[in-house]
Amino acid sequence: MVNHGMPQTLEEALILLKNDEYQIIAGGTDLMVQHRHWAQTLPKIPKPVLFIHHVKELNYLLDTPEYLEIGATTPMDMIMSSPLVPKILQHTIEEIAAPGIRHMATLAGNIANASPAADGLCTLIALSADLVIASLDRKRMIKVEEVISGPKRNKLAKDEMIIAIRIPHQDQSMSEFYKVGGRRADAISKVSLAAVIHVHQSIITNWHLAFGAVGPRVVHDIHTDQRMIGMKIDDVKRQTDAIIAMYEPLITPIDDQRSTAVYRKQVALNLIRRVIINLH
Amino acid sequence: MSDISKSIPKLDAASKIAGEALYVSDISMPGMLYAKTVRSTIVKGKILSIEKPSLPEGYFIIDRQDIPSRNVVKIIFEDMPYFATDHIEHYGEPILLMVGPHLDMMDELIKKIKIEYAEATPLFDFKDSVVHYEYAKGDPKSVFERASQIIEMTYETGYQEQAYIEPQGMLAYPEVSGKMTFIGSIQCPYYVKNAVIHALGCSEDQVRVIQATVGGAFGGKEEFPSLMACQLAVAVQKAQKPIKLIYEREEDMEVTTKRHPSKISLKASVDEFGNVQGIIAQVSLDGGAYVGLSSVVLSRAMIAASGAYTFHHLSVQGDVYRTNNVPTGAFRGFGAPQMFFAIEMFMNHIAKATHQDPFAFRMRHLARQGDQTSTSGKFRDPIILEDLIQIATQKAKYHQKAKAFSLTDQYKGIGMSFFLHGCGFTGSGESTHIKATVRLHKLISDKVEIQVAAVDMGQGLKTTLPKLVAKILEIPIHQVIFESPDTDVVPDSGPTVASRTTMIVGGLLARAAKELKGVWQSGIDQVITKRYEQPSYIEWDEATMKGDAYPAYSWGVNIVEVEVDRLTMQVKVKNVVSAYDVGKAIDEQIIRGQADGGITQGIAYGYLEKMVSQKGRIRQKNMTDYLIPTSVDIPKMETILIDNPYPLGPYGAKGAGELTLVGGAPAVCLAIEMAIKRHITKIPATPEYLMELINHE
Ligand SMILES: Cc1cc2nc3c(=O)[nH]c(=O)nc-3n(C[C@H](O)[C@H](O)[C@H](O)COP(=O)(O)OP(=O)(O)OC[C@H]3O[C@@H](n4cnc5c(N)ncnc54)[C@H](O)[C@@H]3O)c2cc1C
Repeated sequence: MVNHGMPQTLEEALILLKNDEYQIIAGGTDLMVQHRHWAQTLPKIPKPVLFIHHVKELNYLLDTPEYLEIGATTPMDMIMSSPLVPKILQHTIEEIAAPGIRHMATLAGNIANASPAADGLCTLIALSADLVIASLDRKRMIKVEEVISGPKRNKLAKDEMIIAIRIPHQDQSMSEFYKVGGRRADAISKVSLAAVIHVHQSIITNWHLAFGAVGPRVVHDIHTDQRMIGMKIDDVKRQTDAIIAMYEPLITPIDDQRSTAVYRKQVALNLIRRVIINLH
Repeated sequence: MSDISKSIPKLDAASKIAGEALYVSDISMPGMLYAKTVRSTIVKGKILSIEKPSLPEGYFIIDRQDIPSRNVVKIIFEDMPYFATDHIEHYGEPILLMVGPHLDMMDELIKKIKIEYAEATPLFDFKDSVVHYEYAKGDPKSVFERASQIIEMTYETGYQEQAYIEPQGMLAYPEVSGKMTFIGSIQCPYYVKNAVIHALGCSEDQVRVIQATVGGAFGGKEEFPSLMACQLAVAVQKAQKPIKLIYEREEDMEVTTKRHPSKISLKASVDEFGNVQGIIAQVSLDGGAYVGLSSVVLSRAMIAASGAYTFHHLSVQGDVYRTNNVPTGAFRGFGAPQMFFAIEMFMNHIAKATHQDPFAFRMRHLARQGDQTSTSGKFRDPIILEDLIQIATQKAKYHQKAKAFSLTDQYKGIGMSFFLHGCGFTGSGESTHIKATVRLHKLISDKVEIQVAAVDMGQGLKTTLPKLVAKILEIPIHQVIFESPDTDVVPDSGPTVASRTTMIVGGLLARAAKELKGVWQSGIDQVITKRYEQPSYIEWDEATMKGDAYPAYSWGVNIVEVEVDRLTMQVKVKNVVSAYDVGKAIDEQIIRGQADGGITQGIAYGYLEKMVSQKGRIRQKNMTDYLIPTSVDIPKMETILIDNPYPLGPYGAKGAGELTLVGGAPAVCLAIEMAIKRHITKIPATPEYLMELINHE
């Protein structure tokens, strides 16, 4: 008999995780789909399941002077409607799925699921967000992108879980999320681009581009981004083609049932153009 | 007396909203078993061996060895076995049914089945023609010899999936009398009944078919359910228990019939005045591994070759090709959407190639009352297409916008399609194959029961037929009963297809109601039966495809406005205006429902819904990957209806179910063309395809 876990507190959850191997389930909007089976049968999740969606102490938004912290089980619709949340993240969530799914879905699930097309993950990476990860014995913090090891794979240890996401406060005069899905709602991204940018006195002081669905994981190259810092807007605009060329090698999409590699690549590069056109 | 078109609440809405309406998967019976289909995992080849596990008590495997009579589904072309023979012709071909009381156990057992194959090379190209038709009008040869210009284009269309909300499902059970009863999500109760009789080799009174509430069909539940019924018939004979077979969504999308992909080559001879003298058309359809009813789809496509225009000289050839793709079949529009896409794009492309204003050029060629149809029949009834065009162009500000968008580089466009749809079966189908019979049964209580085999699958028959009958009898509508058909009760009024039900079945019911009214005697049981009679002037020669292909035509105009994102090539539909002549709306709201749904499906066929077969396997096999439009993809739509009563339709009604779909694809593609200033020759016009067009010029 499998024993599923229904912890009421974070501590209970961590104890369970310490003692046994579980599949954590938050909103279930990825897991239930991945393990679906015939109608009128239960999904076939290989491991016992640890339900955490109802753990209240992980359902919060907390603003501090340095960062905004979002508890791991806070559903997306709450995040979307909170005034504490950066606009780009609100806008990103608006583009995810549809209201029903957003009532259940969590950002922690979006990250841990590690899909290269995950929209929340893409924007959080552009926002340089950190993850607070806990096990019974220790708590650690890493950058969101560092937890991803490959498509659908993350680096969490068996006894660990994400307990919160921290988004550092930063200057961002121009942040945008562009999602290119097959239709205008409820579609998985064919390509996406999250741009977190700050322009101070016509000079770029913050610049992060993260691309979704154009490689085995969300693409974000801090070194390339850094080369933009200190540039004047006018120069950026003048050198649009060269800047696009600089990002070009990072974009390595594939053909699949949703789109083609050629399209994805060209659109990803065109979206950089859009960012630069909109730059002010 | 109030106008029949004035809407009333849909009579079946309350039970559906309350969750009381029973769909097949809601129905359970004591001792009921489930069935799941085990399918080929190769595309083409031979089955070498099947290793079956030993089955626990109460579980059964049913395959072709259990078939008492014929292993073929009775459709028009009888080539589809309901259990695969030794030779596999497509991926997912049904090999056997696993039947038992517990789904999880069945899953375990299925995993233990080992099938060995010898694979062969499949064929996907258009090489193996299994149906070839042709017809001609006038003297195409000589006009092409005299042509001042000849223009040639080839158009391609892809699959379209019906994407009904409720997947295919059927329940069958043995009755004490030895009869076998089927309850299914079906469009054509008598098709199912006849298919089972054929498969079991039994007599007519041994099979009963009842329609469950149907959650959408769009043609997808015309012929396919017959295959499931044949399998269940054999299974019930063996197990002697009720058995329910419900498809999973992905199974349904991967293996059930969908719209025929097509390739249509068109050649026009244009004279020195820029007028089209003649057209030569070659229509090629991918029938998949089994032909089924593809021949009828082909003939409708071919007959639509002149679109809503009159060409005096035509030569039309068509082929259904057998391939090792999954079989294609009926889908709302039935060949017409493919052809209308091609001909409407072609008319625009001819105008461009001959430096003419496309609108004026197309208007000059419009079909008019008295003209010969493509098949040399006659448009007898008034054609009000010009009125439809006028009002639609006005409402949509078509001319102003077309001018503004054509001249500028705003990536905006507006497109317009003209179209017609022949109502009812092609040719003499109604009188030779279908021979519809309807019955009105007045009970002692003075309630009147409608007895027809027509199915409400969401399109509103449960409302419109009682409305018609009640109105003629001048009785309150709740005095009219219309139960879902049961072949033990209702006569065969034909399948619920081909935009025929309101016009033909409704027309017969109207005649029956008139007669009943004349002889009405309160408190007495009375029965009136009516049979279809072809109007005497209709003549059709099947062999040469000459004559009146349809008794009546419905007409329409769609105008679609789009904006294309120049960096992503995503298309945003901004505005939709349509005008239709469906004779007379029996219920305006229901027609508007058909109009909104039809054009949405038609537009999506043109720019959004993409399904491809890669080496015989459907790649988009769930609703995540096969995208149909959501409410945010489609703007508010405006629909104008103009009455043009057809003398033989009830209150003048003609067909409306399919009409509203056929013009969507060309309208949206013409709009996209205007926006990106490139020729579109393929649908769906996805952003990937548009990007290619932009890159290659
Ligand atoms: C119809 C539909 C549309 C969708 N549209 C989009 C879309 O547009 N964009 C998009 O990005 N996604 C989309 N998704 C995917 C999904 O909704 C998101 O990825 C969502 O954020 C997942 O969150 P969840 O809480 O439901 O995750 P779950 O399914 O509960 O879990 C997902 C994974 O995360 C792990 N996990 C969850 N919480 C934690 C935790 N606290 N610590 C460690 N591991 C954890 C689970 O073990 C599992 O491996 C869609 C899904 C559906 C069904």
